[in-house]
Amino acid sequence: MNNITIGQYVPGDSWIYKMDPRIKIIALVLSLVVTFTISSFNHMAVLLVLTLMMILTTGIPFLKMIKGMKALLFLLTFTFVIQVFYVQSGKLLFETDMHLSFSSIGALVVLIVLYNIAKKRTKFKSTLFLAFVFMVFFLQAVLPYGKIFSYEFNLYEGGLYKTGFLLFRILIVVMLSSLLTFTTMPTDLNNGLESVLKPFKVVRFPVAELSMMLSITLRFIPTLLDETTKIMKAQASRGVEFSESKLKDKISQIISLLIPIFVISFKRAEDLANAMEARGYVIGAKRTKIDQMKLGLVDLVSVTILVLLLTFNILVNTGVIHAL
Amino acid sequence: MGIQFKEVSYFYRGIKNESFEAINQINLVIEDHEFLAICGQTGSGKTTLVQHMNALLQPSKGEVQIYEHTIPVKKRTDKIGPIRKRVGLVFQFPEYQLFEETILKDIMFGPKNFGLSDQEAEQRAREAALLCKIPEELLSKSPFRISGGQMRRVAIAGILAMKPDMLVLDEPTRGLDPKGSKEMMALFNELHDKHGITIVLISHDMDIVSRYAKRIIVMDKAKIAFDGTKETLFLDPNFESYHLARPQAYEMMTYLSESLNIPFKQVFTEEELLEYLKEVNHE
Amino acid sequence: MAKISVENLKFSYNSKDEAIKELSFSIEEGKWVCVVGHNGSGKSTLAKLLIGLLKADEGKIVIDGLEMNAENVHDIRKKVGIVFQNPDNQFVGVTVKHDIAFGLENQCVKQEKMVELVEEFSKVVGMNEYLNKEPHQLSGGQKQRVAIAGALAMNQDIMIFDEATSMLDPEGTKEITNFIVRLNKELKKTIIAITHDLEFARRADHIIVLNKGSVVLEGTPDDVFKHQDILEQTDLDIPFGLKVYQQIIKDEVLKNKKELVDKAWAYSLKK
Repeated sequence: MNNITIGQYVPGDSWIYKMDPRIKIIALVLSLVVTFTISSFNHMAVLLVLTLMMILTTGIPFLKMIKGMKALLFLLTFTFVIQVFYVQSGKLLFETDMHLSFSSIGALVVLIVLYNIAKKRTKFKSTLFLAFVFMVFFLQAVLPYGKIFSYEFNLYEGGLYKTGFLLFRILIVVMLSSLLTFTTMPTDLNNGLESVLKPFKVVRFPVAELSMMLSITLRFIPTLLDETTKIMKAQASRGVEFSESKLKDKISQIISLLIPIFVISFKRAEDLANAMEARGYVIGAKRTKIDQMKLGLVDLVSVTILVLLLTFNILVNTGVIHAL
Repeated sequence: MGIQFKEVSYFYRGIKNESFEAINQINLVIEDHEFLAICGQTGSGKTTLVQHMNALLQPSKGEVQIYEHTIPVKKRTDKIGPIRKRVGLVFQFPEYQLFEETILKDIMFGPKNFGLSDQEAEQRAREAALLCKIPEELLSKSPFRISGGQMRRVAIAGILAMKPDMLVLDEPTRGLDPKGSKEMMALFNELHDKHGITIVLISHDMDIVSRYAKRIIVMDKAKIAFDGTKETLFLDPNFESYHLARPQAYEMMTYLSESLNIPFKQVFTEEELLEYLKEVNHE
Repeated sequence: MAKISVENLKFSYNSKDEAIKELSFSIEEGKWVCVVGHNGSGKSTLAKLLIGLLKADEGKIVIDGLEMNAENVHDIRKKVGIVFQNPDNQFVGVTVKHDIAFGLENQCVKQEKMVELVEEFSKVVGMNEYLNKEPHQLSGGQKQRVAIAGALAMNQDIMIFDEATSMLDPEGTKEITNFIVRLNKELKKTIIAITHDLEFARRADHIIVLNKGSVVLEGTPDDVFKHQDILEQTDLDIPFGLKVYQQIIKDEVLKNKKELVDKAWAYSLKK
């Protein structure tokens, strides 16, 4: 059986792997605050470069990072389009008339159909998507025949800067968050979270219990996946075709999967609760942990750097430093 | 017609993209009306092999002929669904597949998926329930309110209601007590003898295997290491490498033959042992 | 003094069926007792009662001098380890290491000591190379071994095995069965093994046969197996050798063949 790593842990041994998980979590929060307290494009660009350089030192392959961002492509494109239309500051870089005409609408319809067909047959879905978006506007620019409605498209410098700013920010946030999940094992993350949230115990927040719940969830995800596969096979052997897409059938298919999984899970919950009690687990009681978390030099350095960056940002924002 | 494996291999990929061979160049013919047992250690490829028999898995190499269907499918129009009707596969702990509101409905699930009307499906379900000795009062009850052994019978009835030509069972007696085990095997025997259904059984229990199976296949490290009868299996020179137990009657016979100096004869069941002892002692 | 004693135990899940009608028995320290019965005879209910997961309606349970009640059930659990039937449903930890440590963590054992104990007892059960493996990568037998290691690490003198091998394949069953024998013979643990496998029960010091919630037979394996008629009523399968022996001594011709009878009896005793 293979070692299914839940989340996306990538094994490695660079400095980031030696960090205490508590500090990693705190560092991520601090970095996010730093990112969101930047207001100038130039600073954001600098932060992006710094982030990229840092990632290089951790040894995580870039390809993995990029793959994670494919999911954001739609959001990014949408943002770009909105900003480009909306922001009207700075130099005017480009202008053209866009037309919603019979010819352009007709062409758009054809484009949508072609896109949907091509989508299923190509591997380069992201590139196709970008090409599609480009064509949507290109067609509107070059087909004025049978004009119904026209509008101006003005591309200003400000639009590009704003888009860049937002784009870089999203990239930084995604990369830093991915960095955490790529370099921290789910159990360590759980331990780190539990420790970091300990102060909330004062307001009766069940930190230890939530941590135990998370731990049990992590433990059972691979097992549940295996069992779901087995049940799918069993139901497939009874004639369920999981690839059929009629809605009515889909509901029946899902029920034939969900109910057995629920039944197994309830039995499991009962058995597990019995086993945990029999082994001396008492909710709310004090327990020690076999996992140890130790602070090291890396942790100290990371936090210091981030605090400095944050201070710098605050000083800039409050006008104390007139930055470049 | 039955099933034919032609040079079938199946690979699957691990996390680091390395390739694991679950079965390797399997050539096997299963005729109709056979009663066949598949034995072998955990990991020898038995489960992978039987999952090819109802096209749950498709070979990485080679070809499987299941009645009139060929896997992998050559034409896009060939549907796999009908295969599942003819070859019924029952997994280990099949009681986990139950989910309907009532036992009757659950047994009807299979036939309905294959296009039978509610009326026809119900008819089939009642017949199957009868065959599996599920009391009629139970049919309107929830499948979750009965014992584990009964749940297993309901699961098997659910497959039988599809009226398969072949029944493939993965350790059907695992987890059952001795009485439950006996009853289950008696059912399969009846299905084979009276209804002509081909039975393919994965089992570790050599007592059951030698009592019921007419043909035994031993899987070892992804290949078929032995294909023959019980009479030749236990005398096979490589028997030790299969890591199989001998039937209890066989072991006792070996002991008695040595300690009493009587000629050894292969016996596989309690009845055969006693019969032989009586024969030998009838001077 | 008996290590475990049960007196007039009664329990029912609902007011209709009585899972345990009237149970009394006692177990000496260091003995291995098998409780046998068909499914539904009350065996598993007994296991849960002994570990305080269920509360008896009537009667008392005394373990190591403590009469079980709501206050001391936690202390009793420190003395009694239990391995359940489903290897997955009792595996709490994310890895082997974490699962063996689970009981120790509950007892607030110091971190360094835990690491030592986990290392030591994982070796005893042969799982020390698997400490970082996750449960879905293990076989049923391996998971049960981890459960045993967890109980050993808690230094519990009494261990209950509730059908611990019914869901395992033959290799796993052999593994665990051998461990149970070692736990009793080498480590001198008091063992209660609940099973429907009479072949396994034969090797125990003492057998208690349950049928429909009551004790119908009790004694050493030799004593118990003499009562074939009672055993047959419980739907339990008598060990093969014994079955054949009993058929031989019933047969007109064979019962007079002294050598055969002797050898058959000798075979039936082989463990």
